[in-house]
Amino acid sequence: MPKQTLLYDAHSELGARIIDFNGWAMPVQYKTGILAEHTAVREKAGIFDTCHMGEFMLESPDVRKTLNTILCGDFTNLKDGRMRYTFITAEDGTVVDDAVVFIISDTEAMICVNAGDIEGDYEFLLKYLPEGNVLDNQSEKTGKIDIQGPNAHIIVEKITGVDFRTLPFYSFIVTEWQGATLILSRSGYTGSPGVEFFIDADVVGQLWYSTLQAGEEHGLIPCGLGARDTLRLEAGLPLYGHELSRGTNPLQAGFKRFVSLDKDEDFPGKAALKNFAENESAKAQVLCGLTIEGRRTPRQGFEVTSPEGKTIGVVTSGGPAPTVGGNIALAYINPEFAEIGEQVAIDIRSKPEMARVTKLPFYKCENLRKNGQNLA
Amino acid sequence: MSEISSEVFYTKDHEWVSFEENIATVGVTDHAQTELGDITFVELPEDEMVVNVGDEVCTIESVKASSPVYAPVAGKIIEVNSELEDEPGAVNSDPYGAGWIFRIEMEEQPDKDELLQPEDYEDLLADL
Repeated sequence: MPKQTLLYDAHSELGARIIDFNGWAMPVQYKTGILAEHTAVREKAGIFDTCHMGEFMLESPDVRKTLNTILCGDFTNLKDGRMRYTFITAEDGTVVDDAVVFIISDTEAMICVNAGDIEGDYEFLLKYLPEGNVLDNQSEKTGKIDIQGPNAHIIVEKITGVDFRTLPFYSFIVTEWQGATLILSRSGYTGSPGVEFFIDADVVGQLWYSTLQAGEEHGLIPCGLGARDTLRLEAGLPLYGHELSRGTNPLQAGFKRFVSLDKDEDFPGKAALKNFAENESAKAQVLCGLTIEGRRTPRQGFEVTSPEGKTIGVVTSGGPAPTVGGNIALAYINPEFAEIGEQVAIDIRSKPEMARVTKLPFYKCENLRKNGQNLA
Repeated sequence: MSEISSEVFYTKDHEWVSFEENIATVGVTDHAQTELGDITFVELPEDEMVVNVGDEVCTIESVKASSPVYAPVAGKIIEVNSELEDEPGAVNSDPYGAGWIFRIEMEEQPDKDELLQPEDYEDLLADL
């Protein structure tokens, strides 16, 4: 039996279609359908149940140093209230999971991980945790909701009194809502502006309904995993199990800037990643965006070939791109084909479909990172 | 609850088929279109393609997946619904009408016992 999130009953009431996603019973779409939900996020606003994701709280005499020891990024200069995307890497440099770090204070941080293997991530990090540190898995006690879209700021301000546009992108504040601690971060997984709410499990249902109600007049609708996937794909964001896995490392996936091989601390996979960077990266396949010229849709696992039909890679995610139009894909391909504008083909049901290597992201919202009050 | 038309036959793969003399018109059921979600493209079969029962004839692309459509009867494809090229969503909005996909000309009368009656299809859905 798949696990249910804290908001499962709410989804049933809203007529959601439920699927098993990595062991979780999750809404793939509501009555409106994926395309309408996708468009709502790009043009108005959408609300997502992301309670399935994992949250670990770290208490440490020096959080930045500890994070440097267990994760591949360099957190030395990351200020309180700031977040950073990072990876949990194994000794061989491959990806155990991708994660987001929240620096709460010099002695406290939160690590948000994917739903797929929360327990596995936790056990892995505990193995490398230096003495005198405490890592607490608070996933069961923590609810999470994402509000995304150009109208998100109006809705969020109505509920919390906070205009998140005054916060820098990838930063957060700790506030209170109905007596519960609320972490409100300016971030998300859609490429549209918005927030992620982390709140006590007891009140997350109340926060969900309040947000739905406050958002109704601003075009907010509930959105499922289907729209979450098309949105993140257009935004060129990786999904664990597709672009990231125990078969690839963060350097291949194009995340060099999130891997610190120069920092003083050792972290799992550092030696392997160093070796990869120095000796193997020039020959290794790289993650690219592909735009498909025809109307057929590439899917995970489809082969990428040269225009002449020689296998040069594989699609990790593919689908229609409702906002930018046509079909798009992310794929690992041989480096000699990875230049922007290069012509390749995707084998779709034994017939080639022409594609072009495209700069990521496919969809770019100018207001995603901007600060200020006068944003549309 | 999915709509089940009482005027057509069904397959266990969720196609429907209706007959007019020796011409069979084929589409996918309301249940199928609901499962597929928003349909973005129907890759129509080639004209004059000769098909046997159970052959993969064409593909429906939805946002989430690509799904094959199988031939419920044997014969030759004599017509495809080219309206779907511009309006693939007709399969979602009117699966038993404007959402029809192709027509097969049959040489012999089909064995209708091999197809499901509306009541049988209703039972099949109830067991899913």
